Amino acid sequence: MDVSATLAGLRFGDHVCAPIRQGRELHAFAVAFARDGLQAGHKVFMAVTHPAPLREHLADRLPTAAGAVTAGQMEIIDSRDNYLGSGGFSPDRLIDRFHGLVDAAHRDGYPGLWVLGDLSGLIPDVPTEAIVDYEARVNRVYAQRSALAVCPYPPEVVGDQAWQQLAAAHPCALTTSGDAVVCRLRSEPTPAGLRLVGEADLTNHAAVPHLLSAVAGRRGGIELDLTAMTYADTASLVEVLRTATARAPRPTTVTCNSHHARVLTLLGAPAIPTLTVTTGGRQ
Amino acid sequence: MTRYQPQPAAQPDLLAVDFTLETAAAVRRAVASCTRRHLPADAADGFVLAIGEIIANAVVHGGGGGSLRLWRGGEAVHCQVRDQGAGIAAHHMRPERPPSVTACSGRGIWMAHQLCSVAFTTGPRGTTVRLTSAACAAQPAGVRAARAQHAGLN
Repeated sequence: MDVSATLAGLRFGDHVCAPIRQGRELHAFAVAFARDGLQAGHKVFMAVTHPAPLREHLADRLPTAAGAVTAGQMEIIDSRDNYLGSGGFSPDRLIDRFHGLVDAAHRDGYPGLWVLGDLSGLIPDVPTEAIVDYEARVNRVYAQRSALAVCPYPPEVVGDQAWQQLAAAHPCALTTSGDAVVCRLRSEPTPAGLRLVGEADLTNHAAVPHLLSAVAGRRGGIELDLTAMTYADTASLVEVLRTATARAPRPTTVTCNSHHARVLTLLGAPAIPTLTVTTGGRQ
Repeated sequence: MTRYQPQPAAQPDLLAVDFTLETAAAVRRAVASCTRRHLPADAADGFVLAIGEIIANAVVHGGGGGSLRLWRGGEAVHCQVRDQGAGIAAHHMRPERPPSVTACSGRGIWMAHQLCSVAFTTGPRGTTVRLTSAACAAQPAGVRAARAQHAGLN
């Protein structure tokens, strides 16, 4: 199915696992993705398993595509060139690469970077566990940069268990049918830290420590704004406490609604002297 | 085996639905929507978190999903979550102390106990968990104790 309707309203900080099949489904989604990204004035970067047919499809279906490629606003490359290169699959190198792509987009005058990152064709040459690890760690890029990514993984190709692991590494995943968002969390950078928006539960809380890691290493104090979290499970809030504990003696301030403050209290927040919890309204 | 006698719903179900990993969040949202019509905001949020943790437990340990009923009875809202897993050990049903921040699991059921009344029926063919919200604006004992202990919270 075409999941572009399900994923309408993509914003910076989104990192989405989507059940998009190769061929017609990917092409249909890429048209909507490129159209929206280009219209918004962003750099659109697509790393896909079969770039040549996608280029042809976009040229056919999106009048602005050819001009955008020529102007450098859109780039469509082979996944293997992007994710493996000459040095093999290296999450650290890829994280640096995506930081570099965002930097380059800014230098070229684009507000941000939209990524369609298709790693499904790397399986099984690259173990699923390594891709899951990469997808979790790359969250820090989307947590703090003007960037978003949609990652197509066909469930029937990667398998049910791998799909669940891949989905859990993303802060947002769609149902395997593609007709609904399971749970959506995204991170927005703020001057003093980050703001988490949406929901965190068992389907995506594995991504939470990686989102928090984007600012955890900062010198001085940081502020974690949870006021736009409409649901945070216990495991997610424990990650907030772990971050504050690991940062000591550097101060951490958490702003959240009274419910989350209450849960943080139950979990032991007052025992962390460098952590300040302030209530900042209910969403 | 720990047993309790499920009470018949005093009023028609507010919600009766099955859930899996994929639908757990949607069910939780539906629970929140129903609960917020019947409880004060903070009490509703705590009750929804408790239910969310029990749903997660059913998905992870109870065979991948289960069924949920939600109903109003008296001044409280009641929820029953049933799964078909292999049962749950007694020490998991009533953790005596909060797991440490470094522990990898075990907090969900503990947290549910802090936020509402929780009762288990469990055996090799499944587990049924009954959760009852605090009545009206009453605050769960766990929250009162934590507040008293950590009066310095901003």
